[in-house]
Formats: sequence, C-alpha cells, structure tokens
Amino acid sequence: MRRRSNRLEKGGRIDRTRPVRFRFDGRDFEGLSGDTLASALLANGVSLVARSFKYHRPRGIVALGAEEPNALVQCGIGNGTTPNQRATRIELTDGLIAASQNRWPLLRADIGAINSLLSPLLPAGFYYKTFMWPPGWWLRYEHWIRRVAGLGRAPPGPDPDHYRQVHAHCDVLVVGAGPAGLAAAAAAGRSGARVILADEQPEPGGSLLDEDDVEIDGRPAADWLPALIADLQAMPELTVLTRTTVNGLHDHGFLTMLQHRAPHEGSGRPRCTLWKVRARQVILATGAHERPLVFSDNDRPGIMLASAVRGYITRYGVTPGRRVAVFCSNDDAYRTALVLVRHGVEVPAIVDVRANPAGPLVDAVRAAGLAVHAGHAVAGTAGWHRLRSITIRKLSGDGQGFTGRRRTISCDTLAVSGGWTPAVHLFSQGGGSLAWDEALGAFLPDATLQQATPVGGCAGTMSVAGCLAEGHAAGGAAARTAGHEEIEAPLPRVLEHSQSLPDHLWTVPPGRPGRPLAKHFVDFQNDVTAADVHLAAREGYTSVEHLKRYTTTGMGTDQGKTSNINALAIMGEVLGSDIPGVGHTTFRPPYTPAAIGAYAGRTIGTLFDPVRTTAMDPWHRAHGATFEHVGQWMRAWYYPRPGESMRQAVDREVTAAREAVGLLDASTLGKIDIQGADAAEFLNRVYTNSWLRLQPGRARYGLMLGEDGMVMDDGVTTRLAENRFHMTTTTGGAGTVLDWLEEWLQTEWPDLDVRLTSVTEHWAVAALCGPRSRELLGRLCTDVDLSAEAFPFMSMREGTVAGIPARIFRISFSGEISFEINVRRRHGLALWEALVAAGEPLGLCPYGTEAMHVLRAEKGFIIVGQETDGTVTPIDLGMDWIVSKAKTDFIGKRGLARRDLLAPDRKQLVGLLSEDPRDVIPEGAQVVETVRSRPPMTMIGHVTSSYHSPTCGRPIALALVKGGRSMVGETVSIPLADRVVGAVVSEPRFFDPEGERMHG
Amino acid sequence: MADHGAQACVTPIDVLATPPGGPRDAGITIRERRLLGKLLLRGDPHDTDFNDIVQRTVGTAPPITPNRCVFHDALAVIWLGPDEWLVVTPPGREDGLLDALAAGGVAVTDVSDQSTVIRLSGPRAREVLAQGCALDLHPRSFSVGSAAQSRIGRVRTTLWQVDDRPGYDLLVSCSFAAWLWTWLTDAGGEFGVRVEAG
Amino acid sequence: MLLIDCPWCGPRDDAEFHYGGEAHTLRPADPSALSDEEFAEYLFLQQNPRGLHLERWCHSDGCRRWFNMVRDTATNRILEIYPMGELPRSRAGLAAWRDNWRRNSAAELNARNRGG
Repeated sequence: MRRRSNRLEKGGRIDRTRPVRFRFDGRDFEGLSGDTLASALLANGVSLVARSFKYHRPRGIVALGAEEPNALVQCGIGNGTTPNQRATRIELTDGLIAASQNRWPLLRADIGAINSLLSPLLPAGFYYKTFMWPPGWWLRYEHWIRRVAGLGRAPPGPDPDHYRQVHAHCDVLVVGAGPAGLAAAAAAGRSGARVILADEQPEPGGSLLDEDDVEIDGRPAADWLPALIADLQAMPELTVLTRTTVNGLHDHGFLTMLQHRAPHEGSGRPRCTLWKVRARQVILATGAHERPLVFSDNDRPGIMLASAVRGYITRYGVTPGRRVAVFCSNDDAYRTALVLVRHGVEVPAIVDVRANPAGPLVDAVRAAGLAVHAGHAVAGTAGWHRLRSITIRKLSGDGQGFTGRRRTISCDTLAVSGGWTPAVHLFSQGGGSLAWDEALGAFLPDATLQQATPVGGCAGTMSVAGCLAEGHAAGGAAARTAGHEEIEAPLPRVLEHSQSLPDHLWTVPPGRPGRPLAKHFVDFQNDVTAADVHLAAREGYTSVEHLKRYTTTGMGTDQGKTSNINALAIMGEVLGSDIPGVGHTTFRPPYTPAAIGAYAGRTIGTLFDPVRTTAMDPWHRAHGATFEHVGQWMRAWYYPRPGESMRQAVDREVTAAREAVGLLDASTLGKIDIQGADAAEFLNRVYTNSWLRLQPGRARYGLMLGEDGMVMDDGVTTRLAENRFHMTTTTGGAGTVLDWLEEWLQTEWPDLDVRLTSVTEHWAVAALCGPRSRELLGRLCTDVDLSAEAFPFMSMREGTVAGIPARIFRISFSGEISFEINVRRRHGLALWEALVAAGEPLGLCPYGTEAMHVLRAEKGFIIVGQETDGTVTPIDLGMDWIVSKAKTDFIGKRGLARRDLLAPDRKQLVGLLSEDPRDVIPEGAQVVETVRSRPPMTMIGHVTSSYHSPTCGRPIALALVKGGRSMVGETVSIPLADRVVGAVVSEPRFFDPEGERMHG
Repeated sequence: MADHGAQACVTPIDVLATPPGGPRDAGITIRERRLLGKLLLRGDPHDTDFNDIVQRTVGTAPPITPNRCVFHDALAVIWLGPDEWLVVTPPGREDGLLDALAAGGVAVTDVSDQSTVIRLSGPRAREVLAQGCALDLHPRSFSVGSAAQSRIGRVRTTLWQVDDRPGYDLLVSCSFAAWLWTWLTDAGGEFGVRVEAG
Repeated sequence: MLLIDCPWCGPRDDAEFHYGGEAHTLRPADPSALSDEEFAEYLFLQQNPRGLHLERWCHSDGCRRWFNMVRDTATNRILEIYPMGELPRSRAGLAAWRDNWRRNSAAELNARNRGG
C-alpha cells in the first residue's frame, strides 16, 4: 500500500535532494535531511504515534518543539537506547530507529486501551486509593503497574557513549536565539562583552524560522536572518551554541546547559556536554508556548497546536493534514489559517470563541473567503486513530453552555490555540516571582534574585518588533552593567500583522449539559482531565501543590509546559477564585529531561575517584600484595605467598614482627610541620597532655579531642627544635586535623605565632619493628648511635640510611622495638628495597595493614575511627593517663567534664576473649547481657576490633561495653545470625602489658 | 655529601611509565617537570626584614598581590596566601636556598616531594582545563603571571600561567598526580595529546 | 551554587570553600567557669534564622583563610564579607548582629573577662 505523502511542493528548510531513511515501530520510512522525526512522520501521513499514559488512548503529535506532551519515543537500540525522547526534537538521521512507548503489543492494537473504557473507574488518585490494600502488597502491584504504565525502557548495559562537562564564564548569557535573544546577543556582543548565545534548536532563529508572514528590513524574516547570524559569528568574544538547552538557572548567575552532539558529528564527540556557566548577566529570551483549549475529546490524533501546524508547513514543508479546521480564542491562529490557504490546504472552518473577533488578521481571513464561526466552540470530535470530524455549536452568552444547533464539519486536522504561556521556567527556578497578567492570561516574570532580564515572549511580548526592541535594549544594558560600553546600532524595521486581544475560555462546555468533563484533557502526557481537577477540588486537594501531586498534572517529562495554566484556571473556576489566588507550582530544573550520563561526565571508571598510592606502591604490586582502601589511599593489606590464605599470611607477618623484624609502609600517616615561637603553647592547647617541657629530639603521643570532649585524632609529635615540631596524625585524619588546627589559629588564637604546613607526602615512611630491627638498621645506618642509651624510645635522630638522608623516629605502634625511617618521597622505593635486601638474612618480613592491626590490637592500642566513633572520650578508652589534670584548659577539657560523660555506665573499652578459642567474633557485632530467642535484646555494647592473634594463639577482640571495666572476668553474649558466641570480658591488653619490649 | 644521588629517584608520574610521543599538531602537550625543588615560606610581607631576606636569597620579593606569581632566574615564587608563598626551584637548588632562608630566620619548610608539577601547554590547553576547573582562564582574567589555587576535577591543584602558548604549570600532591595525569590525557583526547619526557 | 568573593582570591565557586557555621561564637576564656547549661549554649546552640545569618567560611581549596560573611538564608544573597574578629560593616549586617548575636558575644566576653 502506497502511503500518502503530506510533503508540500515547496517551502521549508529541508534539503529535498537528500533523502534520509529511518524506521519507526518496525516500519521503514523516508524523510529529508533537515526533518525532525515528527515532521518526517507527519510527511509520511503517520498520525498515530503514541498511546496515552493512563487510558492508552491513541495520540498524535501536538507541538513543534520541546513542549510536545505526546510523541515520546524510545530512540536507538541496545545499550545506546534512550527512552522518553520527544519526536519533535529528534533530528532525522540515516538509519535512525525509533519506537513508540506505552503500548502493548502494538500501537494500533493496544490491549491497555481497555483502560479507556474503564476510565470512569480510573479517576485521579485511583492508584493511591486502590493499591493501598492489603497492607504490604504495594510492591506486588507496583511491578505490574510499572510494566503497563512505563515510560520507555532503560538501556540493559553500560552506555556506549561518553559525556563531558565544561566550565564557562561570560559577561552575558543569552538564553534562546529567537528574535529577542538574537537582538540581545548582537547588542551585547557589539560592545565587546563576552557573550554566550544558547539555543536548543539546530540553528539559531527561533520563531523567525517559522514565520513566512513577517518582513524585517524589507526581506522575509528567514532571509534577513543569515546576515545577522554571520555578524554574531564574526564577533571574537561571542559564542553561538546550538542544540544547547539551558536547563537550570541557579544562584549567583550559575546556569547549567546541555549541549547535544549534532547528527553529523561522529561518536568521537561527546553525546552530551554539560556546560556549567557562571554569567554576570543573564538574558532570558526563552519565548512562549502555545496552549491548547480544553474541550471534549480534544486529544485525538490530528488535533494540534495552531502554531505547530504553521511551523510544520513553513519549516519542514509538511502539512499535517489536507483539511484543517482552526479552533481558537485569539488572532494568532488566523495566521495559521492564512498560511494553510497560501499552501493550498483546505480550511473548512475557523471556530473562534470570541463573539466579535475583529482586526486586520480577521479581515484578511474573511477576505480569503474562509468561514469564521464567531462565538462558537468545538463541542465534540470524532475519529479513533485519526480525527474525522468536529462538531461545533454556538456558545451561550456566559460561555457556560451551548445554544443553537450542532453542526458537524469534516476535517482531518484541527489547529487549536488557547493563547500563549511565557516560558518562565528558568526565571522562576532562579527564585524569581511571577505576576498574573489578565490580558495575556498568563504568569509573567516579576521580581528576581538574579541578574536576569526576561525579554520577548518570556516577558509577554509577542510581536517580532517588540521582541527585537526589548532584546536590543536588554543586551546593551547587560553589557553596560558588566562593564562594557554600549555601541549604538539602529533597530530593524519590522512588518507584521498586528493582533487584537485574546479571550480566555478555560473550559469549553460539555457537548451535553451536565456531563462530566471526563474527556476534556488538560494534561495530555499524564492523562489528566478537567474532571480530575474537579474531583481533586471536591476531595480537598485545593492547594496548587496538592493538585499537582494528586492529579499528576504538570508532572512527567514535559512538566506541564502546555497544561499548567489550563489546570490552574480550571481549579480557579471550581473554587470561584481567580488564578493568582490558586497560585502556581514551583518550577524545577531541568527544563527538559537530561541524560544522567551528562551529570556523571567523565567521573566514571578509573576517573571516578583518585586512588592515592605511596612511593613504595610499585614494590607492593610486584610482590603480590593485596590492597585495601583506606580513604582514597590504596594500602598493602597483606602479602600472601602462593597457596597461603589471608589468615596464614597475616599470622606469618605478625610472627616475623614479634620474633625477627617486620617492615611496614607507613607513608600515609598525616604529617604536619609546625613552626613558630608559640608552637609548644599551641600543642598544649590542642592535645590533652602537656607539651611545654618536651625536649628537642624527643617525641610524645598525643590525643586530640573535639570541644565536646570526644576523641578526634591521635598521633606522635616530635620536637625538632625549640620552635619546631613534626606532628603525625591518623591516615584518615590528615586533612581534617590540619584544617581544624588552622581554624583554631585563625579564628580563636590569631595572636599565636604558629605556622602549619602539610608534609604528609613529602616523606615516605618505612617502619621497621621487631627484636632484630636495631641490628638491621645498624647495617644500613652508620652515622647514628642506635643503642638504647644513645637513642631511647620516643626520640628522633637525623642520619643516613642506605646513603639516603633520613629522619629516624623511635616510636612504636606494634609494641616492639621500632624505627620509623622518613626519607623524601623520591627515595622511598630505594629505601624500601635496601631494607628488604639487607633484612633478608635476618628474617625480615614486609607486613601490611592487617598485621599492623593485629600487632596493635594485641597491645590494646586504639585506632581512632575504629575504637572511637565521635562519641567516645579518653576516659571511656581507659586513657585517663593522657588527660592532664594540671592544665587549666585545652580543647575538650570542659566538654569532658560534662555531667553525662562522667556516668559509670558509659560504654568503656574492654577486651573480649571468646569462649571457643577458634571463634573470631565479627567486628561490629552487638554485645548483650541476656540472649533471647529473637530481637529485641538489651544491647550493652559492640565489638570494635577482632582478630586471630598468632602471638596469643587465640582470637582477641576489643569492644565498647556499658560499664565494661567493672565487668572484667564476667561472661557476655554476642548473638550472631547463625550462633551465639560467649565471651569473657578482659583488660584491653593481650600481650606484654608492661611494654617492656618496645623500650628495649 | 652522601651518595644518595646515586639512589633511584622516582616520581609519581614515572610510575605510570607513559612513553613520550604523540602527534606534532597535538592540541595539548604534557610533561612532568621532575624533581623540582619546592619551599614553602611563611612570613609577614610588610615586615622589611622578612622581605629583605627573601629578596636577598631568592632574588625577588614575594608578590603581595593575591593570585600572582613572579619568575626570577629559573625560580617561580607563587602567592598562596597573605603570609604564604611557594618557591619552585630547578632540581637541586632547594637545599642551599632552604639553608639561606632558615639562617635568615624565615619560617621555611621543604615540601619538594609533597607535590609534583605537570606542564600543560598547547592551543587547546584552556579548553582542556575548562573541563575540570571552574576558574575563568580567559586572557582577560588570567594571563602570564597569574596563579590560583583551585580544583581540577576531583583534585586540589595550584596552577600558574607561564607563557602565551598558553602554558600552565599544575602543582599537584604526589599521590594525586597520576590521577591528574590520566585526567589530562582523557580530557585532551579529543584534541590530541603529546607526552614529553620529564 | 554560590559565588563567594574570597577576600584574598576573589570570586570562586562555593565548592572551593568550607562552611564553618555561625560566626561570633567566641570561645570562653575559662570554659571551666561555665555551668553545663552555659557551656551547652556556647557549644551546641545556634541562631538558625530565616534571613540574615552571620557565618564563617574558609577558602579551603584556595588560600585557606577564614572570614566572616553575612548571607540571607532565604535568598542566598551575600550582603557582606568581613574579616575574622571584626563586626559587620553594612547597616543590615550590623543590625543582625545587634539583634541576634550580641547577647551571645557579650556572654562570652563576660566569660573571657571572668577568666582574666
């Protein structure tokens, strides 16, 4: 069967020499280069493109641009598929594959259409009301509902495309390249200001591309455009971005724009680029959307917006139908009638709700011999997959009903116009308030928090001349405000139809009096009818935000671009209120749907998050280490030999450190260089213990508290010289501690002479520990006396190790004799390799963070962030010894003295020894006093650390238990999913409690 | 002097072992400026003693205008804060300078190995940086001698413009350098990336 | 995203900054002289107004300097940025300090005096 073509003989901005093949719902079609999917479908006479969301009614294309509510398609196949694309915005490319959504199994024979017959049973709130019972069944319903009502499918696998983000700055960002935006960009650009002009369409021009009845400077608008655009493109500081939707206006001139790849660009280019723009001035030339009229069966395929009918003819050379009636409340739709006539399309009737339409456009239409039915409205329509006819009747004087006889007019298309709604989305997003304009029947921009100026259609100015003048003035002013001198230029002369005032008929009466308005569609995308709005009002959902959520009007991918004003107006009618009294909902970004990939950008895969490695990392890798993430750091966890389990590897590493010598990469510890005359006084204030009398060359362990008395960080700090200290922090706390110290210096104690510098990464640290560590170090370091007398525990010496200048610290996190060797990072790997080589004959064994944990847990040394969680005091940890009683103040002293922190039943650090010596209790397990068969049980604490200890030959655990210190020797229970572990409370030290080994 | 010069010096980008090369007409060129000396100075710029010592040892007074750096005799002095500067020296010159400054009583810290410097240059350098850096790098607001501390992607970076090619030095903590290097090659991929030996 | 005019580095995205909470909460000179209630007032209680808010920020990714700011919490408008240890200079900022913050600061100054 040959399809009838709706392509006109001439006109349009399409390339008739370049056919483009595409596939829709499995059928092959041909369009032309320059078509959108929508225009190509219309050219091929395809009028049915979608099923409606709830009732599965047949739907066709309604609009020309981003406001399209019906024609949502699934575009592409495989992992590159994208749902919810508006056919009106898809540029036709060779091989394009698209499919309609929300239908099953076929668009023409959709089973869900049964819902349409059931529509009286599916009112607003139906899902909320019906699927609440029985309780807990929602999850079962949801699965089924989503399948039936789904808006497209997500791709099954990773997106094959890539996305970019770009920061940009400008003096003036102009949103929209219609007449107002072009004039604004030209005026601002001429002044030398940095200007970005962004438009969502493939070429600049906006409505000027569609209007063949406007002349500028004596030429048709579309012919006048190229010279202006060439001027703009010649300006070095002006950037024109097409296919770019400004989808968010945020605080302080921050805007987000989504730029789409042009069809002719290859997949090497990002599919979308998310621009993050900081603009000194913003000009909102976003235009206006035409809105439909609300009448019975106003959703049939073939019923379209009047401006869209005009646009398809002038821009794409496609007529949506062969017999097109017009139904309107304003003059603008008369332009559509004239365009249709000019292109030889039959216009059987113009139905105007106004009783006495008058003016040049009306005269022109009458002069063309067209029938104008003034004071009439469409009372009903017929046709299932395509409009067949309309029935019109004369409106009663008050517009509440019909009089006279009904007349049926056959037509395949109805061009509808209920007026224009300025696209105030961005203005409103930026915190702008809106004011109702009665004449226009729309909300207009009012006050704004931003440096944003609405112009043209967005500001309610509908004439081309007005748009050009407003844009011109605003562009110049914005450039001036941004510091650029305006350069005068004449305004173009415009010849266009003048229009008289529109009228507003928010609800066309039902065809038969008293019938519910159940087929008067307000929101096509969400299948919301005037009856639903009435129902919401009856049920008390009169707040505009409740109305939106209860009926779902204005939700979904089009966010009510065509429906909002009609819904508000109908609510106003029901409530007997004016529209400003009803108010409007909040506009939120994004303006049109955006691919999530654009927001991820390149922050994926290996670039998702930085992985920090130490200087010794290549050695760890080469020697088969397994790694664990500690914050962003990648630390060697343990070094399994072939065939070894983790437990076996860790046991071996721990034993070597206790019996011979172990080697740990401790480079990640935070390190801060502290200089200044008040350095010791400063440490005295931030640590709980005393620092004033520490001798140069000696080191001390310190605990930092928050002002609330809770443990925040710990580490060893060494006095390098009278006025200089080397502080270490935990690996995870390095950044926060530096910031915290800097905050105190700058905000509370600016009088202190103290300078802080992070040197965390300047130093690579290899820690030797174990009874043979001194012997090993002695083989590589000859310029430092390593004897216990000359180099005691908790001191520091400078010297060379393996020929590398080093700072050697005698501190211990293992309980063994230990030397932490610090060298510049560049030498870290060389030092490590030298230690490994020299240590081999002594039984040296590199160990990872897991063995480090076991070693310190055996000694009962805490790890901040493991034994503590921001609610633990030094007293809870049994570390009273480090809290100075003599100092009058330090950060946290007063907090620590709060009544509640002195209670005896606080959680205290204890050891736990499982009764079964094979049972390693999981970390995080809850400790209870009495086990019951099922929760709840009274929890008295939790396990913070738990390991198998090869040194003790049994599992050990640390735990925070309520009043734990008084429970030593008692048995507690730890209920797990599969068993209950009994454990005896012990002191939190399991090995060498006196600390003799590390002092030796 | 000890024989540590004989020890292998390893930089964070050495570890990536990126082979030099790439198209001649590449949009960007990247190179690690290996093992530069870096000293962090703290002091009051209005204190004449401090200024004199810095002038005498470094050869130039520290810039007091924020977001600026000065170049002198292969050294760069970068403003980091109202009492904080970074002196970047050719490899090996940091030790002598450190001693001279410390002898003059300046609070100075050797941070040579805290970070490394990546030189990014080429006609598309600005566009590459714009993909991850929120600074306005347009010549009207950022030019040779401009410096700023900010973020590139997910990494804190100090950058300063060294020439009009344009060329930028990017100072980044060692442990983040590999990430930044990878990020630059990714962001520049569309324009062609040339890697030069350090 | 806010654009914050760092007193040293100039206007930068708020992502470069660290928010430090309410300004003008001077630490008492002798905290041990305070009752639990007085100490809680210093440590935990904040004004949290809808309207002008006096707050501290640090340019943590930049020059690492702390400063004060007057921001309208309802509109995100930044009225003023002023140094640590000083009072707002704008009329509105100073009025906000007088209405909501002075009591706070006075109590702390007393405490500081008590502590000597």
